[in-house]
Amino acid sequence: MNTLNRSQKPLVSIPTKLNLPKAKVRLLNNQTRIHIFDDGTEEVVRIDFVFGASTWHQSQLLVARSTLRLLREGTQTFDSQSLAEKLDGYGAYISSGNSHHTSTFTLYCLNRYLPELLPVVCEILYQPTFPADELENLKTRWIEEYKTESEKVRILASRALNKAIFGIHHPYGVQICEDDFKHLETRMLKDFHNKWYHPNNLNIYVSGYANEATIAEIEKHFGYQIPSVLPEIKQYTPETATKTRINIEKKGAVQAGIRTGALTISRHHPDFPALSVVNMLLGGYFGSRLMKNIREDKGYTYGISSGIIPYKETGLWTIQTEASADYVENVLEEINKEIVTLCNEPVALSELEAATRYMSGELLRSFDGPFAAAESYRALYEQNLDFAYYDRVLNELQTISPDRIADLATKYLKNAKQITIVAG
Amino acid sequence: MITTNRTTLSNGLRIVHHFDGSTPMVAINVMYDVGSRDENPEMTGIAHLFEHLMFSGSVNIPDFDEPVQLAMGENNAWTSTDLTNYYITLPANNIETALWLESDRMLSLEFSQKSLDVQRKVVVEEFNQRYINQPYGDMSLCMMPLAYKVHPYRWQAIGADMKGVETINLDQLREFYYSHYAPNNAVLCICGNISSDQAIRLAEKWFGPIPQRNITTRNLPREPVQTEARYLEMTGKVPQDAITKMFHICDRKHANYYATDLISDLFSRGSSSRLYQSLVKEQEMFTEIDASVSGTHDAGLMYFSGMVHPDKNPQKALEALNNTIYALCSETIASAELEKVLNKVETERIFGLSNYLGKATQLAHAEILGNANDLNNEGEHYRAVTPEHIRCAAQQYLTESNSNTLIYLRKK
Repeated sequence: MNTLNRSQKPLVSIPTKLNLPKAKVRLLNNQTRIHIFDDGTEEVVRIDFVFGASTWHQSQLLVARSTLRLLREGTQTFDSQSLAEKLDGYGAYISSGNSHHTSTFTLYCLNRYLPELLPVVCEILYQPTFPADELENLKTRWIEEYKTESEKVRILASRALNKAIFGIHHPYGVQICEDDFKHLETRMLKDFHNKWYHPNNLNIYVSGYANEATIAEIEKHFGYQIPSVLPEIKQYTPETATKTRINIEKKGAVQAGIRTGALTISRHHPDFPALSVVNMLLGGYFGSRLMKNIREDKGYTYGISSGIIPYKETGLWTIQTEASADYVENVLEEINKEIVTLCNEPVALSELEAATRYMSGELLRSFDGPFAAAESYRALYEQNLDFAYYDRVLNELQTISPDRIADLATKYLKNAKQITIVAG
Repeated sequence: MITTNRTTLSNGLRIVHHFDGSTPMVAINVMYDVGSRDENPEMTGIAHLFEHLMFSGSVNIPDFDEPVQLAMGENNAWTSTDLTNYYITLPANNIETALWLESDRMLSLEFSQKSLDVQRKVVVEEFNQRYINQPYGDMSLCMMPLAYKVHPYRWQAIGADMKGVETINLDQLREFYYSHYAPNNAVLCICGNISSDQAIRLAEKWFGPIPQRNITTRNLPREPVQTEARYLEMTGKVPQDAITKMFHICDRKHANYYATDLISDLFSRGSSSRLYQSLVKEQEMFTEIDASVSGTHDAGLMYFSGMVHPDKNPQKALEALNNTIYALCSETIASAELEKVLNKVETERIFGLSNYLGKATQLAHAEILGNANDLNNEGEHYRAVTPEHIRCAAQQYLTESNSNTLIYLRKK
């Protein structure tokens, strides 16, 4: 037997083309669109019901969120407890969540119980009653949750950054206070529901065990509601603060929450895939410069990262970390140094290669299995992008050069109007 | 049904393989049978610090992460009271990179004083971020010492405090490594798009030459049976009063484990559960409430944790919680209620096993506990629980003298 040479790395092979799974898309009679990722080996299915109705569409704060959350607290046939008994009884899990542009109600269940569960979900989505006592109970719970969240420096820094970047009149920058919960009334929820929860404003994403029978069952319950005219969608423009540094005092905090941010390009911009590589090198993963320097070399923090939040029409480039108060200025100084270095010194090919290959791996992982694939696909679809986006990303990963990295770092990072928040 | 191939190398390394052709990837888990329960009480937090140092260079490989990234992979690790688990996911073609890396750090470590000094600071920042600078973070540090007086579960995996992490030296760490990190104290699980022949051949190639080591025999003190209720009140700068109540239960391999897990589900899984319906909705005593079992290898705990409604007196809330808990001891639950939580468990189990990394982790854990194939019998074990079992287990474990109550009051 040959002796093993452990100082020699095993060979690595890199696929030149990634075979990403495609969605099957179908339009029902009532204009509801179904997106299908049928790749399940076990008989479980996840169904996301996504309405284009969220904070962007509401005229009072918290209305979109409470409408969504209260759907399952009462319908024309069932009260809150019977709904819970029904859904739990068949072993289903329900979750719901808002992005700025969509409200999502998700059902996870065993396929064999779909015939019993779908009519209940249909009633929840289209015939909710929004009982007043349920809203009161929810308000109390949300206020307490909000108070606890407000104790966290990470949350304080994040809220302040969005306020500074977008301004309080913009849905991305709006600030919530305790009174906003108290002002909620069921009529606002009913009104919001009437305006926006219609089949022509609904996309359904089915992933897992999703064969013809599954889809037919969904169509039976969701194909016949009547479409309705949707209100016009308002437009907002960011009003960015002129300050570059904002400190938020939090007495007794052992660590400070640090968050920096600047407006940047959206996913639609041709430079976006390349800028993602720049971001990856700076702070996008464990091997990034910020992690290597600020965590692995200096030990200032448990973790630091940078990212580009791809909003619908814009991007927000951010860096976030938590560190002891004593280290805050050092951390900010090191962040700056790393940005400058990225602009002034060409990145080593080996470092670039590690980042781009890691990103190709991420891409593979984000489409691995029907559940992950459906989520990644949906993120694109909601921004009016298609799979050609990933061809552009792949192409960029294979061709990007150190010079281009330095140029983009200068154009989009160094020259960005960065705002720094320190909460602690 | 998850089909596995199992084998043990001559150095004692247990290998579990499972083929999953639905993914182009493969997951490699190396799970060591060491956790914070194996620490010296004077030096807690070391198993976890050690997990950090496992990324700081092994005998032939100075940088662990970069080769993973170059192979399109991702890696991470976690430490619990019982286990330390390292995992890598990457395209199946590049599996050798993962085996090369994992085998080298099982062979021998080579980290510097500087790595140790940096990782100490990183872990202290982690401790501060998770436990000190987080509302209710210090509450969780007080829970274990209340429930356990003798067994090393009395400190959490992060450590009772940061003294051990701040003072341990390289020699002591080396000793920790050689007494716990060894092929004969680990399970290697390979799960994904690779045949069993190839997986086992490559595992043999990279891990076979690692010598067996003398592992410290685990001889942990048993936690004495609790005979009197314990109660602790603390205050902190938090917005809401909180209550945690803990009962000693059986260990993970005990026949009662499945009944205790289902009991926690009856109490808190889903909006129709007993605690939510009675305490959050009807009586409005709490704004949030949850129950769970720890599932630890040695005798564990059943937890009840709730946030008290702002208008309610915490003592009244505790009384209501007690009433709801103890009611289960004097009734035989309806079969429909049991069927409901069994359905919930089934759904969750299948979703949890729907991806190769989830499968790899669970298979490795089942193998550490005895046999990876036992994972396939879990569903039956749950389905075999009857209302009678539930009542017996509730009567056995849910008693006031076996309880530990921690009340966290907001500073006025």
